[in-house]
Amino acid sequence: MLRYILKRCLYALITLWVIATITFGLMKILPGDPFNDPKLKPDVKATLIKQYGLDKSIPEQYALYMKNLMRGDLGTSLKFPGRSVTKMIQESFPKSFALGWRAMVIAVAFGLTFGIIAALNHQKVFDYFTIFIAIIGISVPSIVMGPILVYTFGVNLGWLPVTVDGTQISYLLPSLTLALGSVAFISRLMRTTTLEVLNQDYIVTAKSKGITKRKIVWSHVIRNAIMPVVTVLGPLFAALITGSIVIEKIFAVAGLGEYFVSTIFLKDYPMIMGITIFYAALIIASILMIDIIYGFIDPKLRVTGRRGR
Amino acid sequence: MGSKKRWILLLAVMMVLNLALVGCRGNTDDQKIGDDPKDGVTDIYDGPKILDYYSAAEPQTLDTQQMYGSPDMILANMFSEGLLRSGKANGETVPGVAESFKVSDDGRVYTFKLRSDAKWMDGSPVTAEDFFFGWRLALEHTPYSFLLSEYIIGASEYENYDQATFLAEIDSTFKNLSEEQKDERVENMTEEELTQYQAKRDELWEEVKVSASGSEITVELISATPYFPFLTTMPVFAPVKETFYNERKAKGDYSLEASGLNSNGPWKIVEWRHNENFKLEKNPHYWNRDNINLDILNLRIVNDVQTRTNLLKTGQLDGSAIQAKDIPEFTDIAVLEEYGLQTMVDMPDFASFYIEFNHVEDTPMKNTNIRKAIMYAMDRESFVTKINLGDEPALGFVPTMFPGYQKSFREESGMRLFEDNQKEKAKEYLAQGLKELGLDKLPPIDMMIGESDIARKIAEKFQEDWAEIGITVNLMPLPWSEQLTRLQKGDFHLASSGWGPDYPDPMTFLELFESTNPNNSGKYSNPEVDRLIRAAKTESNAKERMEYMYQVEKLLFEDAALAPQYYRIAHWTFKKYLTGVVNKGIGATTDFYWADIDMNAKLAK
Amino acid sequence: MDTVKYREINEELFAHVGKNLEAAEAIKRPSLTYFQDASRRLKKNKVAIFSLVILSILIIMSIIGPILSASINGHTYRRQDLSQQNQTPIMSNARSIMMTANDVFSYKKYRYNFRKTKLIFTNVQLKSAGKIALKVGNQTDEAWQGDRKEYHIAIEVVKSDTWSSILQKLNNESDAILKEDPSFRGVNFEIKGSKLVVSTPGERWINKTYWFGTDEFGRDLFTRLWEGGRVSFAIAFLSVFITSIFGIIYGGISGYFGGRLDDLLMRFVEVLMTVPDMLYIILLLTVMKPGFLPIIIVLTVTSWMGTARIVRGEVMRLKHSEYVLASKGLGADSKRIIFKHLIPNTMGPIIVNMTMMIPRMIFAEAFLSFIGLGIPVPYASWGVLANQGAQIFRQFPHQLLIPGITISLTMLAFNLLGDGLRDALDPRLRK
Repeated sequence: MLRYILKRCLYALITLWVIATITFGLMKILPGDPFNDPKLKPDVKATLIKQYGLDKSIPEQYALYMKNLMRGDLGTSLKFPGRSVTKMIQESFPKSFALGWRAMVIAVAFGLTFGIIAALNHQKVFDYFTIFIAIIGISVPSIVMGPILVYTFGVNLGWLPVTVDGTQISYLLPSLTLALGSVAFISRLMRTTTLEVLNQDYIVTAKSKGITKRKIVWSHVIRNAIMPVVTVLGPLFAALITGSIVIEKIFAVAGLGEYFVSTIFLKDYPMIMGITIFYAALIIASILMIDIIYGFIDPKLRVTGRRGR
Repeated sequence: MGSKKRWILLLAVMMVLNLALVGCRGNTDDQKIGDDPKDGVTDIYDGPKILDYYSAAEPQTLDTQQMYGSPDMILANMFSEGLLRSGKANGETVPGVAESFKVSDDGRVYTFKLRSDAKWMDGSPVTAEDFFFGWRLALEHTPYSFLLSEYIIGASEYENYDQATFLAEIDSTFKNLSEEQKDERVENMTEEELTQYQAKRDELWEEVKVSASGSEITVELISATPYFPFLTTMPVFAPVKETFYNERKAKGDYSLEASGLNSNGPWKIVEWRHNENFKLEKNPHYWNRDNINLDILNLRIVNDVQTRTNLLKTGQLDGSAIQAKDIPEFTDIAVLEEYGLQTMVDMPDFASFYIEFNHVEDTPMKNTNIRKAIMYAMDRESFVTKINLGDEPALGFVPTMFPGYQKSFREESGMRLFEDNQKEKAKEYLAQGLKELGLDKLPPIDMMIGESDIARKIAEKFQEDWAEIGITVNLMPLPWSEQLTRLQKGDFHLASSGWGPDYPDPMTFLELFESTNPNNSGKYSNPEVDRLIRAAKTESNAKERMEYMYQVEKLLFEDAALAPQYYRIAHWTFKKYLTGVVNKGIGATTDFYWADIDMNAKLAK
Repeated sequence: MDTVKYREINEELFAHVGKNLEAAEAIKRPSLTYFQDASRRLKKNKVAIFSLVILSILIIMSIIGPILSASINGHTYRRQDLSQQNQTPIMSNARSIMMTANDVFSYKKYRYNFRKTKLIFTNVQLKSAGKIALKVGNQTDEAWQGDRKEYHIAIEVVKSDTWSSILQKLNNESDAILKEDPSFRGVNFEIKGSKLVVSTPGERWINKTYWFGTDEFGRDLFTRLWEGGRVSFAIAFLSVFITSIFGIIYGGISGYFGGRLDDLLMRFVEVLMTVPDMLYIILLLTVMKPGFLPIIIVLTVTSWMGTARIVRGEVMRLKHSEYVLASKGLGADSKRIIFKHLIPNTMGPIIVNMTMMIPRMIFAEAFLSFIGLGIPVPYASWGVLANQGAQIFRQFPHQLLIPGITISLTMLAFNLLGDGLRDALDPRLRK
């Protein structure tokens, strides 16, 4: 197992390097430069381009960037002159994270519960209720849902804060909005896999052996049905903490998402690179973690005793 | 079926609760005027006066010499102060660090008298040296350095003298080197060379016609510039204390954190949580502290307009700008009353929006009649009355209310330089243009538009106007930076553009169509326009100058060099307890210098 | 025991008919291919069939809807008529009410319906004597009220007035105008508990020219909805189709062959997945002209990785299963195993994935529109319509509800159909 983990970590590093290289390449393909604001006169632009070393050849820039990256230095932002990218990520990521993990908890708790109950009540009221929730979750994007929830509960009824102000309660609306799509996604996936498992022979066998329904559900059905769900949790978690751009905007969260979109549009190379690499590391780490967890909980893999490739 | 029953029960309980809530409200039928129970005297609040407001974005920089964005300037106006301050009206000035100023008869020499009680937040005096230090920093090719270099004698020479110039002077082989070798040479200058270079720079600085004697600063300009006093209110002219600058630069937080900001303005920044909020406190050493009413300014950074409106409604902000689609709501006095708001303030922010033509590329846009057809077909009036409420249709280029010679430029030069929505006329021009081009039908034209909601709407509106006279226009929404790239490359037919002024003079708009201007993306070129702009730039008589500019603008429309869309009007509303807020179209657009808050009313809600 | 008579059975009763080998081998029931079998089972699933019907209706309407409204009412998706802006499917000629002065009462909340034909003030309190003035009707509302008239009601309230006398004054004022001009139609003032309700009466009628109302440019929403359907369906189907094909091939190869190849392919997917979508989107859109094709490419490029991973996971799971091992043991080659065993058995998850992806594609397109990079205006897609509707949903809810309901219906139908298909295609449920 340790060897496996080490191997995966090495892979992760290589992956990161490839991502950094690809992103670097993509940005150099993008036409234009970050200083093409019409308010900047040509001499000012020339000065800035020189100051940030953008007049150097691409291989030179790449070598310099990689050298700094190795030391953990992500450079300074172009849009916010003089500000260290590393520091900006340090400051804003915890806010995205605070939102992301709450959304994750909501998504997993409700998603799994709904999915299992729906499958056990196949084609009964609760099943349709879950489908209904799933439909709402899938068919109403957060762009629409966020403003509606804010207006209803924040402005009109005045029950909840309209922005995240640091209090626990203020996280409710944004994390709920953020989680909605994922609740739908998880519950549907869980429902499907649970139904599949319920049709398996070993469940029939277990039933015929007279094991109580409760025990079957807990020790056989959920264990097996949860596997495909676990595989998506890693990417989902990453998506929840990185994909809250719209929600951060609506709820005025000083997170990383807002920075990211604005810097992409402005071609703030060090910021784009820094955030991309940071996000990538995050995603890779969460996938890695899930893989390891998977190794522990997958009953099949334990029996065969191999999780190597 | 059990679960179904439970649902119904839950529903029933909710309905009963609802009824109960509705039912327990008292009857108002017999209420009389003056029955208000909370008529008693409220507690008198004696604490600090606290303003809750917002910044529309995280400032890009709070380095006064480097800034050019609007949220940055609003903050600069709070914590820093130049020779003069921007006054209550557009383009007007009031005393700042300088208590008064004189101008010579030829309008070229300004003498500012510094007040003795102007202090930095640590109590040290603001001196002429602080100003000069700030100006030297500004003259390092900063975004607004042209506001110094284009006006002050010697400033441009100082700014343009760089290491390469120096090396070319002392080393005759330098100019034969390739660009790369030159860069390398510059990077590897010896200690001695650097000292020499610095000495040469200092020498050149002496040539810059700014001087101090006693408590007076004298600035000598290249030509008479009636709006120069206003320029001194801009952050790029702000003083910088050298010791503070060097100390914080060494620590690496100059202008980047609250600790790296020195204040000589009415407030000082005590907290800056990036992308989150600012806290400003009254500067205890500010010379005019007795007339500053607000003790604490809490500014939240809120990017989204809708979120600001929500915060305003839930009472977390004391005022906010209002977006166009919310105008019907905030013009309803019942709404204003509900939230305790004052009537909306409408103020042009002096952004002028227009369609740029590509005059270079071999397209029908080269033909004046085709351009005129496009310009005349547009129905601007409907756009601002039906779609994007509250703006003003643009029938000129320089925006409405923008200062001119004595009144506003528009009033002097004509409110309408052409007529809006002339479909018949447009058809005639189109037919004429097609004849000249030898075409039966105009090929489809592409128009670059921004990705914002309003950009899309306006394009959608005019697209139909053009379709009506038989011009097919395809819209191409592109990200801002991509638009700029294409504009610079001249890779477009039509582009929806906007321009906000840099300084309070119509030249900031009109020079965009000078053939040598880097922002003249369509490469419009008219020798007569160029001649008049040059004439205006060198003319010392203010009235004559303005005359040239009226002519330039008229020429632009005779040529249909651009097709104006609208002038943007900004809207604000503030709580009733917050008074004296000044809104302007240029520089710091919201100014709390004269503002006051009735804290008792604020706390009473 | 009663006597039971048994019939004597002997050899004579039987005749040898000989062996009919052909008949023994003959298949009496019609032979069903995999898909015939699946469709037979699908047909039994009422919910799935119902969904299929809904989807067919939506698709057919997308095809004929614009033609229908063009031939009956002469609308096109882009023709604007600003005098007809923001109409609703059900119209009313009730006049809007706007307070223009109020010195008299305070209130806690002020709520109104979207055309302001009914205003509700809660927790009203009389505060001082003075003026109450209202404007009834709005000249820009001609499409509703049928004329351009505006009326003004104003009363003076004195210190001795109570609510009932104030209401009396207001109603008198309204009656006086009504007497002079019956087209005014009156205003009602009522006190309900602590609420003051002001409303205007009006007739309702169904909008015959604009069946679903109009948007803020006065364009027909019915036409735009179905035009948008064309775009949304086309984008969603095409991109899901391309994505799935690519994902199945990629994931199938990776999962089946495993080992180093799998490692390499999956690492590549991981890399691609971690580079933010926005970068691809902007890159692709800057090299292409905004339009239909780039959107499909963008959607495909950013989403095939998920499908590939799912297929790979399923294949990995199945390839060690007993029947595949058995098949292998019987000498089946890779091609046969992939196409006869692995792919049909992974169909369930793939189909679930596809049904989940269609809505995601519709939304991804909407997100592109949201950041201004979607289908260029004036073309519509459901995402565009919903986004535009969401911007003004408080004023004109129908502009969000109509595309919103259509999208939800599509999602519902796709999901239920997906479930039905899963059941029908799953070989394990074959009987």
